[in-house]
Amino acid sequence: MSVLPYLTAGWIMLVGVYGIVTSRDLIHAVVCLSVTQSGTYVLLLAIGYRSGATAPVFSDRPPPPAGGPVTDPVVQAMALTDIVVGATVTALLLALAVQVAKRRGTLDPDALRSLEP
Amino acid sequence: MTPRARVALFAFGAAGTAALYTAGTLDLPGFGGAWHPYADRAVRQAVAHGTPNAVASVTFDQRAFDTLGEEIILLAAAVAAVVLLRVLRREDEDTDGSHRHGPADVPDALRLVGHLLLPLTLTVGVYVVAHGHQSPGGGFQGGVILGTAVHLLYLAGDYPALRRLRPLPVFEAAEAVAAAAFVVLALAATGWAATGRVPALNGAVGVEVGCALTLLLGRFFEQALLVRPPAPPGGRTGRTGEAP
Amino acid sequence: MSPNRPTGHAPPPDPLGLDALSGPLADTFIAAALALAALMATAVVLTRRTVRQAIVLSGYGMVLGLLFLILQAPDVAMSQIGVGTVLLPLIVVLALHATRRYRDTATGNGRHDDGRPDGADTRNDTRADTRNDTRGGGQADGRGAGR
Repeated sequence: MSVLPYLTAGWIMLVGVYGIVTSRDLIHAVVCLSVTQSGTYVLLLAIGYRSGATAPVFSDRPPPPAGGPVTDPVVQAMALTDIVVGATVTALLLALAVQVAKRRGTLDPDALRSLEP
Repeated sequence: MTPRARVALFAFGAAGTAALYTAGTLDLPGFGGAWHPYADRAVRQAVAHGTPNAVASVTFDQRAFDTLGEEIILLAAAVAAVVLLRVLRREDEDTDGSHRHGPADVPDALRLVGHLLLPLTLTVGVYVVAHGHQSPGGGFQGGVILGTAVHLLYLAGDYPALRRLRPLPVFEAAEAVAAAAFVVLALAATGWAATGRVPALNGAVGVEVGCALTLLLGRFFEQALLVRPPAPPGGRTGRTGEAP
Repeated sequence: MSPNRPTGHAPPPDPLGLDALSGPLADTFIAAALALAALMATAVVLTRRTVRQAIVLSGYGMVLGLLFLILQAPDVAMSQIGVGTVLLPLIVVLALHATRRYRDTATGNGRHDDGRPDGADTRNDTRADTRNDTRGGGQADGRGAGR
């Protein structure tokens, strides 16, 4: 159990990269990229977890020495901002894919041999 | 490169990455361990600054500079996507008013539920933003709820109402203002107490994320519903053309 | 987590009897959620039909949200459930709809964009062929069935 979550995160990242490598469709590739990105959230939160801990919110409990351990708020803050910002970046990539489809008439990366004005 | 060669190259790289990554994880502190020096310090600071939600404290107080960077990335990505997705005039004229405004036949039950859920969801979004410093939530999460809630009207089959409720130029301006407000607040708030700083920055982020997502979804909806095949040669004098 | 869950076997003592999810039960939950997340990630990648992939992506977002909730990160779970189950699949579906002419009607019904000499139709035909040749069989989602 002690490294299983880290390995799961690694698996999610690698499987996402595999999807990008074998993709035949730019939108599929963008979705695979977002899967790759989600592996980093799993890794961050796995590092910040602590057995028997609660969420780091103290509105209804006393802070740690009295109220028991809490999980790491630093990695949680990183992951939560990145999820939202990553979604807009994914939207940007999808917008690029839409433009490629409109200008080149295809979404297959293999059909896009060269950069065309 | 043939697909087979590409997969072979990937297998080679993936095997190396997997080996190095596994070796790296074996030396990490074990999952669920008690040793979290950063967490202990961050929690102590959050409590000392009087913010009950330690995650909000880290995001908007202890590491607010980092969040400022994320904000700029979000603004840049949203602006770039909006620019890429503008409806060219030739595409717009080509549609000849034959726009599809969404699902033609929406059951009355769905229509009713959509209209009932809209104010409820917007309220939840505002609540999540406003209470971000006390309970799980905050500007990023509430902004996502606000930005997507408006589009319940599309599910309800009322695309014209959605367009009226969501004038995109206003949201463009509001997003820029919110991004600027975040910077100004972050600079001005250095002297404030954290109890005032965190909710203020939360609100700015909530407005910005909500506006950015509304804009993005609005542009994507325009592309998906209004754009028809462009006319054959047609002049390339495309400008942002607002659909009727 | 629900307040009546037995927290007797918590390694660190929980003096106030607060609702920490701990012990073997927590490990089981975490392991199950991790396995589910890895499975769903693989499913998202292996689903080659993009419209189906958007639906699977939505399920993956929900599973990730549950995993984050079990890992005691409610803020992140909130963010993930909003983005992963609603926003991202919605944007993907809209992008698919905006580009539908370039994937479904590959034989091009009267479409000649920009009037380029190397007609886009032929390119789309070759594309459809290669897709069917290289990945036609063996995909779990049965893509190519309707083509």
